[in-house]
Amino acid sequence: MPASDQNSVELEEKVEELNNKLKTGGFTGSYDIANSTLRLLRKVIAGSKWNNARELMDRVKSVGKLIVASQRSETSVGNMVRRVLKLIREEYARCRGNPEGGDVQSESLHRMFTDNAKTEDYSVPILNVDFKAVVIEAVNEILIELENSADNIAMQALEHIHSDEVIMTAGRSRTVEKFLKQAARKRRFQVIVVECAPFYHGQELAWSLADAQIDTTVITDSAVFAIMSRVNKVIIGTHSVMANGGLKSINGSHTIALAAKYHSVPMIVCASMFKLSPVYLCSSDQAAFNKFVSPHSVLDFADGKLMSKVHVTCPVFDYVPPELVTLYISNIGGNAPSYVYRLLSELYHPDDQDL
Amino acid sequence: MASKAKKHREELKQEDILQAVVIADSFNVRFTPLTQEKPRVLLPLVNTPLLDYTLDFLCSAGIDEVFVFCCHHADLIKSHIKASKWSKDSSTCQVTVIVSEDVMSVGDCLRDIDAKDLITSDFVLITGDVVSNMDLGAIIEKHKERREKEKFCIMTMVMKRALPGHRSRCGETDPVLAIDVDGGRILHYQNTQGAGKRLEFPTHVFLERGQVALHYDLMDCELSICSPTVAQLFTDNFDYQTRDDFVRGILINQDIMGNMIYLHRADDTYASRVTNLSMYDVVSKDILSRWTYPLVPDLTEKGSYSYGRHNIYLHQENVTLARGCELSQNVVIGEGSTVGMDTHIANSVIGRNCKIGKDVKIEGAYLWDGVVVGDGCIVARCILADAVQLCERVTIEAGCVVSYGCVVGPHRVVPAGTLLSLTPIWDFTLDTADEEAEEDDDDDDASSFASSLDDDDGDGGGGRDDVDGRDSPPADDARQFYAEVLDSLQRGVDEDVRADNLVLEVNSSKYAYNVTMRELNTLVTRAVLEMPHIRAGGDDDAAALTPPQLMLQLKPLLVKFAPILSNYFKSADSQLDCLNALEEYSLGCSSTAAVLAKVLHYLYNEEILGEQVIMQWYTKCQHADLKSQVQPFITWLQEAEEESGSDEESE
Repeated sequence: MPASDQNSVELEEKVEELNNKLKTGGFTGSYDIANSTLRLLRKVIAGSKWNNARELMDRVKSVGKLIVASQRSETSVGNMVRRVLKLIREEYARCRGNPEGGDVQSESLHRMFTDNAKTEDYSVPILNVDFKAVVIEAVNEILIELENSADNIAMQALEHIHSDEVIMTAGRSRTVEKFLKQAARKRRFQVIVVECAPFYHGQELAWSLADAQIDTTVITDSAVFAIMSRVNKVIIGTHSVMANGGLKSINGSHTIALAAKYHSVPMIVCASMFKLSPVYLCSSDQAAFNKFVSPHSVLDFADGKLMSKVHVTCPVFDYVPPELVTLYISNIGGNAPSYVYRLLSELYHPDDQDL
Repeated sequence: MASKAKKHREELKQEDILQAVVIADSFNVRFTPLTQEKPRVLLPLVNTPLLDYTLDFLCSAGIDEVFVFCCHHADLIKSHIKASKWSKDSSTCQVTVIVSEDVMSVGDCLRDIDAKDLITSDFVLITGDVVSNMDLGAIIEKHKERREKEKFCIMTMVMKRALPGHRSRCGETDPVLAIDVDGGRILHYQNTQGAGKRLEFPTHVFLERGQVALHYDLMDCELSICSPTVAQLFTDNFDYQTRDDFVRGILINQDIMGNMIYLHRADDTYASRVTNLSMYDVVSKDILSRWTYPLVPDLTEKGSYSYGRHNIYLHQENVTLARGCELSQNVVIGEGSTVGMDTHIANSVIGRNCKIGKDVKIEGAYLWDGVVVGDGCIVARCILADAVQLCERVTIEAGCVVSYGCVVGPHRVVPAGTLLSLTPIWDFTLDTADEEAEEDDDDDDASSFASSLDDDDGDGGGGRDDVDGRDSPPADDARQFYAEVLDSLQRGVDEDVRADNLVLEVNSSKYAYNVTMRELNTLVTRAVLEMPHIRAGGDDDAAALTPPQLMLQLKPLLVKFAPILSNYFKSADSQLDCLNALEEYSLGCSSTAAVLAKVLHYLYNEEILGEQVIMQWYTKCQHADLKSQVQPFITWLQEAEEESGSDEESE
């Protein structure tokens, strides 16, 4: 059938495009990645052939695996795939008239012993409703949630930033940028931006904040500890939140977190729900946790004599253990890092943890 | 399905599609004997064929259409592309293979492309062995912007800063550039490789300009953005063989034609060409230390490699590392390979399905697929091609190349710089020279340069028409061409025609009679020598002119034609043609033989003939009497060289 062939070719092309963009770093932030992934998955649901929920889930999984493989350190891709899988499960259960089915919270020790025989295999076709439309509608809802997440976080700014406070932040997080600008509408405060070498995204943030009439100071990474005693709050963004409540964020964050701990400065992390990933850090050398980019920002390639003698590693991320984090602000409110496991179990189905 | 794909492409056509021309042949034999079975672009570099790096780079830069030009082993390249991801329907970029058995140079490729009318807009010209991660889209955008303002901007060359002595400066090109500081226009380009110690810049470079920057710190990435007129210019000037010829030609004529070349500096990105074995080593190292990110094994191979501390890349399937083996740093181990106990590996790439025994030391080696290394071997910086077997306790010293399927040992020591191959090796000296290019760069320049040009036939497949002017009479076409050239030159003197126009005339005659470059070189030289005799009254009285008379006649002619000669005798082998023609003519005419030394001296002074080429010709020349005639000049030349050499040292 030419029509379906055409669809599948088009889909493959789209997947290839996304893979390429992920590989070459064409995205500006993890929000963009999550958004593009979701849009692609919506196309997969709408455009490919499937007869029941099981087949649909397999299809979503296989496409998801392909995208995840192209850049393993980008966790938000996997998160979005898991969100969509969970949503298919829920919608299936609802359409089958079993609102409890997809609900994991009701899973308890007691339940494990009482009805272990009943496992759902999602293979019964749903006839009475247009399942495809229902699922797509649900994906659209996640998309809307995604689009509003930064604004929802920013709405909480006034609860955390008070007049004449000194706030420290690092790198350039779009969420934090919005958060600070929102607070600046009502209150006057000072922001100290850590520049975050070698990428210097902090300098970009400082420009943008200064344009919005916020009192901004840029400091080098090495000045963090010296300045920390003057700071009232550290507010940073993150690349993703690990399952134990730890952070995978721009390198330099760990130093900041340790300095904050030493000076007992609260460390607040702004992270939308899509950044929560069901991944643990087992060793500091864990494959696909970090991203190692070209050393050219650290060492000048032209300097041949030095270049051939040294070994430069240029990691992008730091791991910040959960005990250094005071509070997460997500689009659904503030939470302690110890509560992250609970949010995770609400967001993802346990069967989908391994893609 | 096909119709859909077609439709899709038609849609693309309407927009401005981005095209790239990949020259998948090197036209030299730097990689023998490895290239005897596979074309260079399919040799594995860190377990991925070279061509894949180039195509990956082009596709991720958003190029829509790629033409891969190949001649040597074209069928292999074709089937490789067919099996690759670029032939799938989902590929965002269409790769077309163009096979042309008779192309001998980059110039021929572009002429062919022009003839086939493939280019519709600005295109990227690149060789099939470039590894790069630069943002090509932005460079193309800039080029287009520039062209909007200045329609004579026909080319943007991409270069990268690398100080002298940098390991990536491959030693084959050593460009010196003069650049207009505002705008980045290239005013002068010179390849100083083998050019001696003196550099000259034409004065017009410095006239009427605020600031001119001279650069010796740039490395040519062999990557340029060209406007469609470039292909046409190659057609118009059939004597352009390489891109260097083209650049030089454009720059020399930039005041007349108005064409301009700009420079783009890509300092903070990576780009390098695998031109010879030492560059193979260098680029592999750069990939392992992630300078080429995102073109690194753990990303290019769809996540099949894991990346660990100290740049250790392990394939995730079936790699077996025995207890006690040590991978110290910069190591790649391919799918299905096993490493034995107490083995030490550093700075090396191990291909697929390799078996490495116990107690082996591998340092800086490149093992391709299916290599077996026996217990207790010591392998230094070398290449072991597919299916090589080393038996027990073999030692391979640095700089060796062991070609496909060789079995070595047991208990053998292979001395440094050895080439091992099952098939006869075409040119032995060349590759060892390349491999050791870093160590000795003084003596081998001229020889490797010349022999690489000689070897063109071997790798190029088609084989250039070998015109041996010495005893065979020129073919019909050539004879007519010769008459034509003689005519043009005569008229040139009589009517005092400008040298540029004479070159044009000669070029068009070359086209008309379809003679090769080599014939042209020979015949032009011959024509210049013959003219005094004709003027003195035809061929019969040739002997009548005494040497002093002849010199008197010849001198003004040489002065007059010097620009023409220097136009044709740019490369070492064309100069050699010229010398051979001089030799041949002198054999037939005693008075010419008598003035030969003076002619050589004049041509040398005018920098039409290079010193190294003259010396090379002299050593090969087999006519003792002729040799004795030019002996004084050669001695003078040698003395001058020694003097200047000692001058340098004393400073």
